[in-house]
Amino acid sequence: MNNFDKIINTIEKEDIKPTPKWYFQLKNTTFWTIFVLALVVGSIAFSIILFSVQQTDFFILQHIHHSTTEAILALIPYFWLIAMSVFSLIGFFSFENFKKAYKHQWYSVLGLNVLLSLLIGTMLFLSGGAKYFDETFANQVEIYRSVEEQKTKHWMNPEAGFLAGEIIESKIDTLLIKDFNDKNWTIFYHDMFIPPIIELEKGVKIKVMGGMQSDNAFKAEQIRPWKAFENQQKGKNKRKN
Amino acid sequence: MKKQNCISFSDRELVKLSLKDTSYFECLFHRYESKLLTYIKRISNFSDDEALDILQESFINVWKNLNDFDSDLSFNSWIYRIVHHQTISQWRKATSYGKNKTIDIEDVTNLTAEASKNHEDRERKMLKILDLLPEKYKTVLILKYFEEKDYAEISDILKIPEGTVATNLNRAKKAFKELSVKHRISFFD
Repeated sequence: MNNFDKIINTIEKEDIKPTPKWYFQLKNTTFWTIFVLALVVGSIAFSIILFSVQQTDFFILQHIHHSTTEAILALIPYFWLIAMSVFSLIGFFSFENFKKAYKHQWYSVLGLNVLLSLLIGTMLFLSGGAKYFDETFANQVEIYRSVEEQKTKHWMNPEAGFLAGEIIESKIDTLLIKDFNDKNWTIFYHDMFIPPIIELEKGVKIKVMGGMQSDNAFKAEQIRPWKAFENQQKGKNKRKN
Repeated sequence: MKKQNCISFSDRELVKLSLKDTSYFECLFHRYESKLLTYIKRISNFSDDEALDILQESFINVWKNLNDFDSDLSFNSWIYRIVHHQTISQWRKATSYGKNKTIDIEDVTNLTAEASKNHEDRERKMLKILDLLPEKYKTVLILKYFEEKDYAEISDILKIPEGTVATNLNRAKKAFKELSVKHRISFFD
């Protein structure tokens, strides 16, 4: 019996058959699908991180006296940072299973994967997709709080000097606003500088920093539009007209 | 299948035909049997019988994975990869069970007394020095200088980037030279 006969005997005796082609195709398709999905989810995560950063009121850090570090830590969108890291790693490991993956250094594969997530994520953010995904996610997942909800929670804290709501009446030196819990507040802003981008008109949503004077009165130190970018745009349009 | 019939087919054609008729698989076996046996013995210290067992197991793996043969890759690199993987995993098992067959430094230094006039002796001396090197250096040197593979082929066989092949090769050559000097072994006397 020659060497090859031994091989053929084993193959026949143990009925060893070549693994079907579809198995390998399915395996490759699975890894490609995982890679693409991980890239998409990683990109969505990054776009929501950008959206979250855009919506974050970093100026409040100057007004938080007890712990700036704590405040910074509270502003970091951990959930999406973890999601982006996890899905970048999933994408990396699925890429490593591609037939030609070994041709590339692991760090360039990981780097490229993260870079793609950043690029697609930025495009999603610029096209307004981030807000849509954030809100959709908040509607579908009960425990998830959208960026807007988190922002609202932060600004509905008059004891700490943060209040937000919609102007229902505007007078000289005072505003009457309805906060997001439908409670009315009188805001005093005597002698305070008001940036030109803010229009203190009925129906405009604002956020106010200052101090609580009584159960329904608030002394303002700063007044800003609730959505800075929208109001800036409105202000520019108004100036053009 | 008669050997004359095998010659007219390329490796790729033989892979396709093997899936329909095992006699073509025999052509592939005979085409690679001798050089793969030599390769197994070069990268491990297995005996002839052990090397043959590994070759047979490797060919059974080749048979199982015939449908996965990537036409972008040469069959030569693909079969070397399978045999390499099989040999290294068997070798690691063998050495981890206390059957450490690596050579002692004394065995290497004894070689200085041996005649080294012909090619075989020189290769034997080199392989003994190579046994003292880490596995990744040893395999890359064997593939480059004994099996005469280029960087792309070594990259395909070891499944590492070509840049890593070049780096490992440079370090391996340096380490080999240091060991040769340390043990006062010359390969060109």
